[in-house]
Amino acid sequence: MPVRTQALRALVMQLPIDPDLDVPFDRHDRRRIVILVAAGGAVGSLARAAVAIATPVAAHGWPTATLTVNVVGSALLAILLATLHERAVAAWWARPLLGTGFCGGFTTFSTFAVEFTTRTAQSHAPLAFGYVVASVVLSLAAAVLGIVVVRVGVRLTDRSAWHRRLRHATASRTSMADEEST
Amino acid sequence: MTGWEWVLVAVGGAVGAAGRYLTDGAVFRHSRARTFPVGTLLINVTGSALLGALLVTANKHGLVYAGIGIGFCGGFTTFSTFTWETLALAEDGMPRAALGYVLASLVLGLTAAAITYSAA
Repeated sequence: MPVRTQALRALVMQLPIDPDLDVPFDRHDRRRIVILVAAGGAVGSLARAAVAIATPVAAHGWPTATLTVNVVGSALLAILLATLHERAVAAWWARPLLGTGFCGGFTTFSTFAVEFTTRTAQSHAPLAFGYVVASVVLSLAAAVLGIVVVRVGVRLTDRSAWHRRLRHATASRTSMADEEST
Repeated sequence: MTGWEWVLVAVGGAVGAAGRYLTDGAVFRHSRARTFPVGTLLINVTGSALLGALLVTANKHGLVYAGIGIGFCGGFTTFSTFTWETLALAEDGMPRAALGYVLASLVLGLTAAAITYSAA
């Protein structure tokens, strides 16, 4: 395996707090990653525009479309990063293309901020503040749920862990039976 | 949306996402913060300010709004990374930093959009 690929693999296995932050090793890697991020961002933005068109929202109504993309996109990013981390997936392209690119382009903070502004400007303050709280709380909840699902799924499908648990359970049951018989 | 508007959304989204990746890296290299996500905070605040200023073009200049508003600003700013960073800070034993990050993003981002929106 080329050294560069190894380095990139090591890169995606450690989850930094900021998932957009890769420190590439040379100009060539950096260019490849930027292209992947741009491609994912284009598709994500198109998908976001499609959701906005499919979900018409009144000028000062509840912003269902943006809330949906932000909650769904937050869950998708959490599922992606948790999967890459838990399974130690060596697909170096996955985070720039699907995470930084697609999820980043699909979700939006600017539209969220502007929707809050236009609704407070039209004295719909309770709706505006409710929207902010709902966006943050639901996105965090969806992301936590995504991480939990991935972690449970990994435990369930991890055969060695399964066998360890099975042995452990059998051993404890046997020792309990021993105690009862004595 | 017209065909050209879709094209501009894709192009703007590509440039915005790539710009976010490069900006985030540049901010990380030039700031002393190693755990607090200063880069995403800066990106979300400036992107919100830009969209606030652009909102007046939404009905008058559809192509400009599609490319720079929906495409660039939407691709540049991110809610998913904001959510992930908040969780990562909390899970890494920095709940106060996580709360501070959420409050800073909301207060600065929403204020920035409000200022440029009312000025435009």
